[in-house]
Amino acid sequence: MPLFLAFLAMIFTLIEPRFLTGSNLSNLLRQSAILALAAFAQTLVIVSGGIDLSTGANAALVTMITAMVSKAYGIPLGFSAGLLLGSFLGLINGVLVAYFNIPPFIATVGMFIYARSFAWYIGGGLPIELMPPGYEFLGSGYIVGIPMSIIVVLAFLPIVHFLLSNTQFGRYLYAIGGNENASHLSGVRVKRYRMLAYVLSGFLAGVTGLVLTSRVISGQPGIATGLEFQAIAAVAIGGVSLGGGEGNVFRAMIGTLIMSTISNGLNLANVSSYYQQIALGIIMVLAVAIDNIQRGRLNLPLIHSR
Amino acid sequence: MLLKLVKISKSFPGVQALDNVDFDLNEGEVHGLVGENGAGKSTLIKIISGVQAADSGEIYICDEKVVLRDPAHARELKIRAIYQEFTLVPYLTVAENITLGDPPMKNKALGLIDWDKMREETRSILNRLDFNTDPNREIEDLGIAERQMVEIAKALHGKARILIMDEPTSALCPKETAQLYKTIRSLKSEGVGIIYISHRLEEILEVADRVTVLRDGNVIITAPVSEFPVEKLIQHIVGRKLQDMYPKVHVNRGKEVLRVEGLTLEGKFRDISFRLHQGEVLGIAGLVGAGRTELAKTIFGEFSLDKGTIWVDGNKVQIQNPIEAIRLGIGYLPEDRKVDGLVLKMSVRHNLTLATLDYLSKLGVINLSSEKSRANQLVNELAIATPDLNRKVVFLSGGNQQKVVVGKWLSSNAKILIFDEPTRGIDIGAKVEIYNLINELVRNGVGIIMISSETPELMGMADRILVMHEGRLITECLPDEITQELLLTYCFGIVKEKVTA
Repeated sequence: MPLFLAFLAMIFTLIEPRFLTGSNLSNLLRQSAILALAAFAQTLVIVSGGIDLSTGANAALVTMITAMVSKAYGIPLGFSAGLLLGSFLGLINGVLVAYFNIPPFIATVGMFIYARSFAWYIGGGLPIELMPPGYEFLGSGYIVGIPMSIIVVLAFLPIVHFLLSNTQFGRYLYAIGGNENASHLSGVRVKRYRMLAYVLSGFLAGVTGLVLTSRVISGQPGIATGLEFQAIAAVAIGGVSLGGGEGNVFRAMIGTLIMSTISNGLNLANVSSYYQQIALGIIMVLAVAIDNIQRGRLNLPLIHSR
Repeated sequence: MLLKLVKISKSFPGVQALDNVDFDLNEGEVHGLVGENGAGKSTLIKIISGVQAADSGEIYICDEKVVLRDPAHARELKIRAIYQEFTLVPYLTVAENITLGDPPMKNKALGLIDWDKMREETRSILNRLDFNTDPNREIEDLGIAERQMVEIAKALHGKARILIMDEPTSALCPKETAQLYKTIRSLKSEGVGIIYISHRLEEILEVADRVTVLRDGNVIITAPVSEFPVEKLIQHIVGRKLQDMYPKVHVNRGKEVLRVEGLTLEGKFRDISFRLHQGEVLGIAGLVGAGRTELAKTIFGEFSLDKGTIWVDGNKVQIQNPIEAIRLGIGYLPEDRKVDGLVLKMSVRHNLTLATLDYLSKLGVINLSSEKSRANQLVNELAIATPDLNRKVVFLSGGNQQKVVVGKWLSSNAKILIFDEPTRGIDIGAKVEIYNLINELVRNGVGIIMISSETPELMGMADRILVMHEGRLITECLPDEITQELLLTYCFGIVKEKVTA
C-alpha cells in the first residue's frame, strides 16, 4: 500500500506538476487531518472486532457543545467539554456493545442518529457562530510554520500506535478481535476492554470535533456527514482487516493519505467532485479485493494443508 | 478396480506433499489410510475429490482414465467426501443440508423444490444410519455428534460409489461409532468403496480390509489389516520403534492442591467430589455428554456452580470467573484449541503471554523485552517448532499449537492444569510429546486433571481414573487394576462391583 501511495503521487505529478509542490503537499496533509483522526478512532474499534458508525455525528455534536461552552465559559472549558462529551458518547456505545450485547452496527447507528439529531436540536437548526478570539488556533494556526492540525495528527499517531502495540489494552483488543472465547478463557476482561475501545474511539471523535470546530470557527450541526464511512474506507484501503484482530494505525494513516491524495490530485486536475466520489468508492472496493486475493495466497498453507 | 492412482506426485512450495504415490480401491472395500499429520493424507484425498490437481500421475476410475477438473466433476463421478471440518449450513434444516447439492425438484425450470420428497429421502437415509432425528430441525440446534451424523448422511445422499471418510468418528460416542460401522458394512455390501482415515488405529484395524501407511508423502506399505498388530502399524507410521506410546513416569504424590465436594451444576452434573495432589495425573473418563467438560469449566470459573465447595491448597475458594481461577493457579486447556484455546491470528509470542500480561506489565504498559525473553524461554522449554516468535499460530501444526496452549499456562505458573482431550486430532509423534510434557509438569509438582475419551491414553497416563456417566461420578479406578474393556464398560454406566476409591 505505501507503494500504491507513491505510485498515485507519481501519476498525479505527471498529470499536474503542481501536485508535488510544498504548498500543495502541506495543503493535502491539512485536509487529511480530520480523516486521519477519524481513521485512528475507527482502527481501535475495528481491531477489537467492532465498528463505530457514530464518529461523524459524534464529532458534529462536539463542535456544537464546544462552541456553546466556549462562548459562555471560555475556550479551555469549551474544549475540555468537547473531549469529555466525545468520550461520554463513546462510553454509551461501549456499554451498549459490551454489556448489553447490542451488535456494534446497531448501537453505533443509533448513536449516529441521535447525536446528529441532538446537534441540530440544541442549536435550533442553526450553527453557533461569533466565537471568541483564538478559537481558530487548533484548526488553522501554525507552530514554527507547521499547521496545528498536522501537529495534532502527528501527536496522536505514535500515541495510538503505542497503545496498540505496547500496552495490555492494545494487546487485549487484538486478542478479543481475534478470538473472544480464547481471550475470556485466558483471563482477559473482555467486556471491559471492548467497552474501552469505544470510549477511546469516542475520545478521538471528540478530538476530531475540536479540530473541525476550530477550523470553521463555529459549531456546525451538519458537519462531518459521512466521515465515519470515509474513515472505514481509509482503514480498509490501508489494509486493516475489517474482521478484527489485525491491523495497525500506520496502515490507517496510509489509507487516509491514499484517499486524500486521490481527492487532492483529482481536484488539481479539475475533476468534478461527483466523479471523485465515484473513483473513491471504486478504489476502496478494489483495494480490499486485491488485499483479500493477496491474503488468500498467503493463507494457502492453511486452506490447503496436507 | 473402482479407483486406481498411479504415481501421483504433488508439491507445494518447499514441500513434496506426495511422491509417486500408488493407491487403489476395490468395490465393497474399506481401505484405511493412516499417517502422521503432514504425511500427505489430506493432499491425497483432495486430489481424489477434485479439490486439487496432481502435478503428475494418473487417475483411473473403473479402469477408465480421468482427469478431475473440480469437486463438481468428482461428484458427478460419484465420489463423495466427509471432511473433518463441518460443511453444514447452520440455519438450514437437516433435510435441506443433506440434499443441499442436489435437492429433489418439482419443477426443474422454475427451481421449485419438492419438499415432501426431500423429507422422505432424508428419512430413508437417516433410517439407514439408524439416526433418529427430525428432518426439519435446524443444524444450529444439533450437538457436535449429531452434526457429524448429518455430515455422513449428506455424503450418502445420491448414490456414492467412492466414499472418503476423514476422521468420521472424532466427535462420536462409542454407540454412534458402532452404528457408523454398521452403516459402513451395509455400504460395503452394496459395492461402495470407502477410503477411511483415522488417527484411532484400533478403529482402522476393526473396520478396514486393507491399510496404506503414508509417511512424508511416500507410501510405506499397503497390506491387509490382518498382517498388522497395532504396534507394527505404529512402527510403520512413525518410522521409528516406539518402545512405549505412553512414557508414564510415576512421581510421589505431594500435598493436596485441589479438593472439590458436592459440586453440582443443574442439568449437567451433580454431587461430584474428588481430590487432586501435586505430581498426580487424575484421569476423567466418560462418554461425550457425561458432563466432563462442564465440570472442568466450572472449576475454571466459566460456569457458576449451583452447589458444592472448592478448596485450592487447603483454602476454601469461590471462583466466579476465569480471572480468579488463573490467580489461584488453575489453567484450562480446552477441548477445541482453535475455538477456545488460541487466538489464531496472533503470533506465537502473543499467545504464549496472553494469560500473564499482568506480570509482564507495569501500569498497563507491557515490557516487550521481558515478554520476548519469556516467550523465547517457553518455546525452547517446550520445543515448539516455529521459525520465529512472530509466526502466527494458525500456521503451526496441531501438536505445536497444543504446545502453545500448554506454554500459556506454564507461563502463569499454574499448579493445577486441566487438560480437556489433550491429544484430539494430533498425530502419534506429537501425542508422545504432549505425554512427555505432562510428565515434565508432574515432575515439577503440578497436579493434572486429564479428561479424555481415549481409554488407552487414560490407562497409559493417569495415576487414578474417575469415571463420569450422565453427570455423576460413578466410580474411581486404578489403571493397573482394570482393563481397557472394563473401563469402557464403566463409561457406559455399567458398574457391577464398586471399586474402592
